[in-house]
Amino acid sequence: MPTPGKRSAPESVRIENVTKTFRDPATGRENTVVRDVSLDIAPGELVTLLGPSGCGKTTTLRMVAGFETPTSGRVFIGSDDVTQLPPNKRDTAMVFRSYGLFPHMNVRENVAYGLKLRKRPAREIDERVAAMLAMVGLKGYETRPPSRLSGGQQQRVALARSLIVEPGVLLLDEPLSNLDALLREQMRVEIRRLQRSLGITALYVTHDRVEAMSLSDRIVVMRSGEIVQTGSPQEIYRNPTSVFTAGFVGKATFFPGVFRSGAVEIRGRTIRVARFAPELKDGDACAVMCRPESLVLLPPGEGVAEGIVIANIYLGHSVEAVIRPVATDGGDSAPTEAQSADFIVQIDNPHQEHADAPDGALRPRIYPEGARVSVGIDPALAKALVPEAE
Amino acid sequence: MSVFSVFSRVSRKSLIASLLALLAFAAADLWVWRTLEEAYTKTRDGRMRGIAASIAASAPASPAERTAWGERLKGAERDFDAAVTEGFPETGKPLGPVPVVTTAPELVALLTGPDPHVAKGVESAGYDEPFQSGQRVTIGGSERILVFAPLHGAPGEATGVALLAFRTDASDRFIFLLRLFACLAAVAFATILAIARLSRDPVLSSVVLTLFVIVGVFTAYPLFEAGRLTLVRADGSFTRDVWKSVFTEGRSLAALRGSIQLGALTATASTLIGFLFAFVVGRTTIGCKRLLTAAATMPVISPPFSLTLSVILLFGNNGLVTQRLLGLHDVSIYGLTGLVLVQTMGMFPIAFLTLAGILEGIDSTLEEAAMDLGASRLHTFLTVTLPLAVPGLLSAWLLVFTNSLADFANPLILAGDFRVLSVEAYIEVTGMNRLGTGAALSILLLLPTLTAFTAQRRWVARKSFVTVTGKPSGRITEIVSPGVRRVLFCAVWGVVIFLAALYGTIVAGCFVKNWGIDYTFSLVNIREAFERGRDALVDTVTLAAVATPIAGVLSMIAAAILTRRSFPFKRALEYGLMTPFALPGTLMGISYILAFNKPPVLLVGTAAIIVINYVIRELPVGVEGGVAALRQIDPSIEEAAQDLGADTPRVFRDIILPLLRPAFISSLSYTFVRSMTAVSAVIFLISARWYHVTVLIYNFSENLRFGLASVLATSLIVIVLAAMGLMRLLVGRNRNLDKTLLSR
Repeated sequence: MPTPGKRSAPESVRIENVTKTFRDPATGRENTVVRDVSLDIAPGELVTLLGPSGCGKTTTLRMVAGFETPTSGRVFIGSDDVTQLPPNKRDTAMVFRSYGLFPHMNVRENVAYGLKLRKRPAREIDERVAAMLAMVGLKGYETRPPSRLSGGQQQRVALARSLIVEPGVLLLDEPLSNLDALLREQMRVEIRRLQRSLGITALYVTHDRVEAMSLSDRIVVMRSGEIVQTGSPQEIYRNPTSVFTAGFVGKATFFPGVFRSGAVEIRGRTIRVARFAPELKDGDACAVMCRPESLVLLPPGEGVAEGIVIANIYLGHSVEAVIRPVATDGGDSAPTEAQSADFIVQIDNPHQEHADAPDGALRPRIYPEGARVSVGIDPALAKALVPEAE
Repeated sequence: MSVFSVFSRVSRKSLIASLLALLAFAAADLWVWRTLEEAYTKTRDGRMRGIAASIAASAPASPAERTAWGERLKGAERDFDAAVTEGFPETGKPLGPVPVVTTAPELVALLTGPDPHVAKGVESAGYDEPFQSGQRVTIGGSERILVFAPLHGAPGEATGVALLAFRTDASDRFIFLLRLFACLAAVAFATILAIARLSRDPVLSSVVLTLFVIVGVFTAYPLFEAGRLTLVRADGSFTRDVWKSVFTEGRSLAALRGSIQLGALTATASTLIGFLFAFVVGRTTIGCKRLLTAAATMPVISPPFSLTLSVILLFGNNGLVTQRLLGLHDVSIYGLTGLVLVQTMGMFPIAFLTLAGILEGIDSTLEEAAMDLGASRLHTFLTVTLPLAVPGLLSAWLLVFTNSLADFANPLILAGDFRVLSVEAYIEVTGMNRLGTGAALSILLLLPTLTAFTAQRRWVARKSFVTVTGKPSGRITEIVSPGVRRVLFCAVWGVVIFLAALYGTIVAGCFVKNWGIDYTFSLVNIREAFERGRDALVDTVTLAAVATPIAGVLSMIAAAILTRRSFPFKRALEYGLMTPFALPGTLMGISYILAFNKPPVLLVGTAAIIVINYVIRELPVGVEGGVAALRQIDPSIEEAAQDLGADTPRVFRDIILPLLRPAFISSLSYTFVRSMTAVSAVIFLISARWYHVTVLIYNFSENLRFGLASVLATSLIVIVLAAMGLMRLLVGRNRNLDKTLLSR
């Protein structure tokens, strides 16, 4: 960071058994949005809160920022209990979903605002603002009002405005949700780069799993106000602890089966899955989670499930085949919810049309739409989970 | 973020410190209060003994003289009753030969009665010692303190007793005030301490609290006082007499009927003309729309009495048209006809602006579709255009109706024998000094006003009031035939020309020697008007200039707090702040003189009462504008500032106020214009020191000095137009402002 003066060290954040209940002023009904959430964030770490809308992730973020006061529980920044402190007394800076740029100030004034509040000398402010604008690539836009900037530029101003005060914790509330897909990808890289190079602690809220996967040191998956799983992107993707997480952090197909001491029985075939949920006991019904890349298409009758190709989605580097399951012998396993969902099979390197079969013959890797196929599982990548109660 | 949820977890240490501070303050408070009360009682008792001694000393010895002296004592204005007796009365025995002189027979009974305190007092007097009884007695319906003084027939020897019974109400009231202030000080200290120590955002909490205090003291308390006065006698007992007389006396009922009749007629006429204007501006291609709109805005910002004045100049007993041009002598403009004419000219703009937005907003494609399907022009108008405007029409009618009911200035001069409530209330208060009846009449006025007002708010206001710009810039397809177009053109311009003539008359009135009699050009009126009205003009501008920034800033603060923060009793605060909008000025004025002519808040006669009245009355419109503007501003802008370290006042100054600039300036100019042209409330509140030009205009008109009145009215119009022009320069054209200006 090319700025003079001392840098405040990145702070740790501790959220301790925080619960937030809102009361509807009209009806007087209480609505618990965040329920007993605890979370530790190490200094310099980027943690993402990931979950569907309404899961309490933004409320959690706003409690760290100080815009909401927890109904119970405590929030620490560093070693200080900040639960009762207003936002302006906390060492946090937030990047808002709608950016919240001051429309009556130009880019320079927007970025300088935090430093002015901190009563830095004018000269220092000028230097630091210039450096920061250069860093986010907005040199030359100093005197533009926010209304004359593109979405991506506005996003950069918002980021610069937060970063320049060198906050102990940077908070980002779905900062990329208003950008188009391409810009979003660029800004993702940019945010990661800035956060890394400044060594800043960051808490990031998003409902976009790709964003969460590509940015985070750690992902916290939330659902209905509770944390359901915490882990690195790899862990969350490969080793989800629930059907919900599995489905939310990536594409997944679930095959219903019966758990039999370390293996799973699907439609009479026993498959030794690599991982399984520890709660599963012998004879329990289970859902076998398979990522698209762990499935293969086989000629009818050879895999664990039968279906018809209803679409081949060409993505360039791969093809995603969508298989609509069909009831086969109908005897031993009644169709379940999970079974009725389509299977998604990812076929890498789609330009290679055939694969070597064990018997030496060439097998098609891609089947035409409408073709009857069977789906096979790579047990090393599958995981048996407790099925969701619907 | 809640302000008071804050009190939940507070560290024990700070709680103990706060409690100690509170205890220390309470002790100091108690000490000051006790000392003051002690000192006051001592002074009061000393004064009573002194009076008793001098009464005893001045009593003549001879029986005849004593009787005459007693008569004089009876006639005098005093705060005590006295009984003077020769010799020392004993319980049960009749008094001696020398006659007892007394102003209250109860005292004699007391002297011969069995009361041990009295016996003690008589005994003391016998030893030549003055005595004050600790026991209070009730005489003539009020509590008394008894003081005994020895009567000296010969020097050094007591020959009789003078018993004085002092009224206690004045001193009790003083002691009550002392206690009230002691308690208030303690409560205030505790509140400030609690906010500073325990609240998460002390500034916000204090502002909220201040707003509550303002609403409580300057809206709720006066209204309560006005209501109380109609139900309570001077001595504090309950009575239904005031309301009984209001509902049985023909005058009051006639006034109620008159108000409603006038309101209905004015509302109907104004809605028709307003619709005509709105239709021409919004749905036709007839030109000069800006001029039409400007003409329709004029009556709203012009001072009260000005249209009345010119109507009298033109159609009055010595009017230019009636007498000079038509030679009529027995036609009177005074009464219902004149009032409807003047009010309609003054209030059709309200209907116009309410309807203009709605008619402009109607998509021409709807009408085109109807005609395309084979409807005739008339049929299209009746089945498409008119139904779409119906809510607007209702809203306009109700708005004008409430305005007409609350109108005070026009009927004050022009009513003649026709009675309306607002003027009746004024006459009761200032003419007959019957404050209770006046208050009752103005409360009676509130009922239809409030009903119509609520109805209007419930219906359309929500849709139309907050429409900010919203003219869909589509072209207009005229649905009028050329013939109808010509008729509309003539009608609209007829009204405009009539209005212009009215205003021209006022200006002309300034330069004419003596309107109605001598029409020669002269500047005498102008010189005299400025000589006599200079102080009032200066006062008026000063008061408006003081009230304007206060109302402006306060309304923006209130708007910000109401939209952006949540706190307990927010709804109550909102209602409290918005209520004055629906209150007729007469009621405001009367309740203010009732509430503030006595301690603890003695304000009558000061500039403060007028300024406060302006602020409270004009606040709702400013708040409304601020709220509408804030609703369109992303809250995360303010949150971003707060997050970067700005505290509440800083966020307000750096972010909210600059973003609210148009609403803020609108509120400023609205308050200024309204304060310059106020009359209905301010007429009760002016004093010899602080006068208002509008009242002076009224006085001149009452004395038939129409020339002087014209000059003052014209200068007010000029000042107000200048202020409006300045504001336009600052914010540019603003439909919303015109609308808020017109909404009263």
